[in-house]
Amino acid sequence: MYASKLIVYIFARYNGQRGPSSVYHLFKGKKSGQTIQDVGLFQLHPFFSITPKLHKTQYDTYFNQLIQQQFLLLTEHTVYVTEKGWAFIEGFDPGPLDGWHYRGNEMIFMKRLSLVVQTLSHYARGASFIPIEQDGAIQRYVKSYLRAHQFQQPLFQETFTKQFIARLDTTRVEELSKQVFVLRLSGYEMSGHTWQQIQTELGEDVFSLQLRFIQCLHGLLMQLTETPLLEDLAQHIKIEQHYTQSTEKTFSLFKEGYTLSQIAQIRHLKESTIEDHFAEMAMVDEDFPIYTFLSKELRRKIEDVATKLQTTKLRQIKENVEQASYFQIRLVLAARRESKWN
Amino acid sequence: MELEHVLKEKFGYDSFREGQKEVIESILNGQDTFALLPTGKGKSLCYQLPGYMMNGTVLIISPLLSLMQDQVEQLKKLGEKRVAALNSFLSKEEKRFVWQHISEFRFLFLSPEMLSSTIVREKIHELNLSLIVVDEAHCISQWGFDFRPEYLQIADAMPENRPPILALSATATKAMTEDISTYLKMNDMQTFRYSVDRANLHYEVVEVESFEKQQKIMEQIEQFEGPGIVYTQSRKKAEKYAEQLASKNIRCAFYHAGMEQEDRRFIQHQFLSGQLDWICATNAFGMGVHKENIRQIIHDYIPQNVASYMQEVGRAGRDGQAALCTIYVEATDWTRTLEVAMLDLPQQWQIDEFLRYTQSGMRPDLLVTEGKMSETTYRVLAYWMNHLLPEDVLMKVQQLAMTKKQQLSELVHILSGSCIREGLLRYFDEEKNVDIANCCSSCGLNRHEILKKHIKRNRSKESVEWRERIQRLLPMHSN
Repeated sequence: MYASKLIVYIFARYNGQRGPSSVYHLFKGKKSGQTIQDVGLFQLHPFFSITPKLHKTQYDTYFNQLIQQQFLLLTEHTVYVTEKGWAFIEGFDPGPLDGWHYRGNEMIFMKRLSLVVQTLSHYARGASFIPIEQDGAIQRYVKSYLRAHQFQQPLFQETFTKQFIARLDTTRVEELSKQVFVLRLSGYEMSGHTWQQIQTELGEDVFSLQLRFIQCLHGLLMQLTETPLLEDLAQHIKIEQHYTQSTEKTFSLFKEGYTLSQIAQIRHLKESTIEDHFAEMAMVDEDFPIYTFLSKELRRKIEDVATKLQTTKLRQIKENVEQASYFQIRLVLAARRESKWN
Repeated sequence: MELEHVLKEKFGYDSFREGQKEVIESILNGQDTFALLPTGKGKSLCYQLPGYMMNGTVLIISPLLSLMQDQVEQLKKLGEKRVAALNSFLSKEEKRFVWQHISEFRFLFLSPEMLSSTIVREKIHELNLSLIVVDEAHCISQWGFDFRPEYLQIADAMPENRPPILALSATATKAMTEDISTYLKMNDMQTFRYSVDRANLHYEVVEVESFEKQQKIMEQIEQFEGPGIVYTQSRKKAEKYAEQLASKNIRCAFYHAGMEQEDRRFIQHQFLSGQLDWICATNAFGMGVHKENIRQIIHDYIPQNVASYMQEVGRAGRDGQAALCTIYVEATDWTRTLEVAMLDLPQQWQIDEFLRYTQSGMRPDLLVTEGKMSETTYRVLAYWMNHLLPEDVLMKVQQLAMTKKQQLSELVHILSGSCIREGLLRYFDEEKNVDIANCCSSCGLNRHEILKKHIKRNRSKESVEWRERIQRLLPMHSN
């Protein structure tokens, strides 16, 4: 249910301006100009790359179902939310997702947490065990973490458990999401449950459960300062560098003072590709020097038209602000930060 | 005396199992050694223990990633810190770590394809090796059921002045043993063969019509105790069986390679710790499942060869108690298995494509990425294209097809013979010396004398209230 609602909710944000695969690319975290730019345009940061391993067939099943249930309407490559669809998502709250800053890295935290819990659980009973997490880097991280905190001390174990419960308690997600989350943890004579098993136990579909799990994980990660023992497990997880690799190269040439067309020449790329990179930079970087490319007046004009016509379609705006180039319009749209959604 | 001391101190056992001590002594004497020990009889100890009695690194060449992972974890569980695996699936970070500390490990596992790299070879030559282990050594024989061409380079990759080699297998016939000695360039190889007979396993073939197969399997599981494994040929079937069993209140789950890594581990753990009684699985399940008390192995299809069958039924009864291995056969199963076995063999058009790619300077492994052939097919084809003239490759492939067909008919022959146990033993050039009660369905077998009745249990409802689960995972100290 959660998955279906979330998909409709995001199509509602696209506001009839994108096709069926857009949500799929968003969930996967596709690093193309279009997807990244849409993130800024429609304020979709929370949902970017929340399920990097999603299969197209799995997504399609959901999408087709939503069409069949008449929550979504597909006309000529564009998806609209129907009235029924709006009713379906009324009052829906996607919860504390933050895909933009984690992009799959939250699983590193989960693996560390899971191994710590597994270790403490077995240690308490004096039992040895084979770790669920076999990645050497995770094992070494947890080993030095446990050693640094003197995990044999009852005080540590107690404090850890208390902080864990306290943190989960204040995580702002439904109880169901918390249950899903803890069912993925293993310990002494208690294995984690597979998605299939959780589906049978809790009665929600696998994809929804997986999204709830990510939601709970992000919610947990958002506020760790008061639970330092958990905070220590979350080191180096947040993505600090937000540019895609290719944009990063363009960015450093731009900083060196090269112009757009010079950069295209140096990198043997089309100018339109470099324009994609600039649009991405304008979206991500609040200090992007947008006025290098257009005047303040022109920017205001474009913004006014976009607001008045309630559109992000480049051609429609261009028809009303003829002196602007498509590139300039894209920059302005990318740099728009105030949003009716927040 | 000293061997027993190390055995107790490092592994916690009081005595050796059959064969282990002889093999270990042979290695410690510096002899190249081959050991055939049946599945589940402690092969790994034969190199683990010497590792603690010699200085330097034990290098273990192992063909399967899951097997390698499992052996690393087993050693870590015993408290060994100086153990690592080097294979092409490691993360960058992990590879760097292993590479940086490569001379410090007591046990270093290596996948055979790594030996193609000159850098890896040079590094091996720099190491102070105490022993070279070739696990699943039958993979070197092209007559073997899972021939791995990369195994042929092992001898060349090793330094001139090498330590002894220990070759291990649970399924090598005498012909394969000769190949092992030749291709590994063994000096005066000492051979230790122990009987592959497992007296506590009882073999059963049940002929059925196709419409009643599933029902009969369900009835057997409802009637007799587990834990057990149902092996099927397809993922779908495994899921279907699991669903059926669950509806009959049997604690079970399915397992196949299409599931995500974590889910697969959860199922393994649940089965090991007794939270599940039955697993319905493809042959992806079993490697690294060290469960002592498996009472039943059920096949709903005919495995491809004697070795696969032995390996799968060999997971039953490791505690020495009686166990039943049943295979349900319908008339068309034979051809179905043959079809599956042929799937991975290269076709003429694939050979042509391979040739076209190499001649036009494209990398032939693109054929895998482009979905034109499976990885296994590519591995076989790439090897023969490198070693034979293109026009001879098709003939080679036809030979391989014949071999596979023959291997399957060997198993079919044994299963329909006058004594299944005798047939299996003869395959390994052994005689059946003792009569065993309820030996097999051909000799006559009464299930009730082998297995206890299944007692219906109510599935314990595990609480899902999250606080309670955390508290059960992490019990607070009582003070």
